[in-house]
Amino acid sequence: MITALLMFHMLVTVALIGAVTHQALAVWWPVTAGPQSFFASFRAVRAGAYTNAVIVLYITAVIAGGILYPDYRIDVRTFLEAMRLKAANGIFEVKEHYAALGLGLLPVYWLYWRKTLMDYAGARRAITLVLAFTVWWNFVVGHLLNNIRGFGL
Amino acid sequence: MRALPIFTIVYAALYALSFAYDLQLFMYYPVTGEFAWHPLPETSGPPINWYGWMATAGIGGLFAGTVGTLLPERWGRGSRPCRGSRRSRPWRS
Repeated sequence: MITALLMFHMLVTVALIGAVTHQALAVWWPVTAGPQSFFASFRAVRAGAYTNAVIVLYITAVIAGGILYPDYRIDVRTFLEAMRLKAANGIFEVKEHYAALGLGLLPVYWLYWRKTLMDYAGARRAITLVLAFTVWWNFVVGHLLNNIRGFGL
Repeated sequence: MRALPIFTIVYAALYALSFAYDLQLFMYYPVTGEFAWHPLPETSGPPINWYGWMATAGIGGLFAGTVGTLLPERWGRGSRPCRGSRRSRPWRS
């Protein structure tokens, strides 16, 4: 059951990372006219269309992570502490804080992506960048922690 | 809509304070499956404070956001993004 939930958590996060990366690149590095490369096509999206999906996926990922957390606390963190893997333990602490703060950021993220507030491009870009960084950090750290024994750390 | 930025600001501040000063609303003990308002003996295993930090921050943010909507609109005028400053910010798209 936990393995299935962990897989679900990962798949939701993969979808989230795709959506928020499309959106962040579209607002920070808009495409210009001319031949469309692969990277230009990646950025040439209607960024606003991703907002609701990002919010739903983020909340789903946090709920799934919250359900998984007790098992992590008992099985993984005690192992990390026993092995004195302080860095690994610490980056997971940062991950949980980022996840919580990102959750609190979602209301203003939604607000600044509303069509009636399209003037506030600077705020929108900044919030999207912070959210994208949060998602990427949490994805990489979660993956690292999940595979830490495989890395032989 | 004023409630949303207020919620986010207060939520973030309260989350940081909750973490720094152990102001979690509750704790969860995964070994015994118990929720507790106060720390339990060590025999209950390690606690999870994360849920409690988010609960403290969320309730505080909701309260502040609700209060913010009740205040006169002119009080929040300075806190909203200023449309008049567009010309001084060439990076705006």
